[in-house]
Amino acid sequence: MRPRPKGRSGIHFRRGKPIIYLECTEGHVNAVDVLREFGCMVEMVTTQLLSIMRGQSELTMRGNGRHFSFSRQVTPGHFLETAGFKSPDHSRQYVNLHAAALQSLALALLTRTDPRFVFLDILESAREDAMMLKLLSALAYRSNIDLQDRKELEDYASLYWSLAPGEGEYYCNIHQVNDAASYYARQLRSNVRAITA
Amino acid sequence: MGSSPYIYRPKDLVAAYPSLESPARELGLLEHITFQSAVPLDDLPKRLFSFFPDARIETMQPGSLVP
Repeated sequence: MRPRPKGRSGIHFRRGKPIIYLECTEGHVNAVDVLREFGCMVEMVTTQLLSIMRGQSELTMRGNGRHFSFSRQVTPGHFLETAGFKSPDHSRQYVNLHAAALQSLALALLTRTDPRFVFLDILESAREDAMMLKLLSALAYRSNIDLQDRKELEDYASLYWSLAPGEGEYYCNIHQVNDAASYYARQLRSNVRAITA
Repeated sequence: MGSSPYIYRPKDLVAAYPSLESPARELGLLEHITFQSAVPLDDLPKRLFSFFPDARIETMQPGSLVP
């Protein structure tokens, strides 16, 4: 009988990149381990993203959950704790929409998905928050940049949007509000142009 | 961390980890009620890395610990 992997796995991040360790027996690995570790990887990145955002701003919901806004005045941590793959819990007002949005961003970054998959409300919310825009741009390119440097923000924002697809192609993958997302994209692009002009 | 030697149900996995639906579907797991837990390592990068290009897989000998 051919030996099979018993299932022993783990994941580490080194220099910002995930390494998945899998037990290998005669060229075979355990598929459940593979899927789980990939899931853990996504969850870790999401959590990392949320940790970065914690203390940076408060993320609040407006307009029936379709809009997000940032505030630097308050930095509660309660809604950040449940990020990841928790099941939606509509009985509580917090979070899972936030988590889903941020997870969407993390997934887009991880998988190098077309930026139109990034939850555009977040970007739109960051529109008037230069630091957050810079943070998101930096995350998009996996860069450690000095958050005090406005010139870097401009460069990253410019690069980010120069690589983004056309305005008409934007859409929101959470709420599927295509028109709104397209509008946000136009607004954000306009704002970035103003910043970088 | 290690998986139990159970019979695996792909739909349960996807229910717990919704973002895994695409890779699980790509692996053809959703077409089955259960699936073989042992899969060829050589097949993984081609299939999964299109979803997670930054990830790298390192193999371990049976019985060794995750570093």
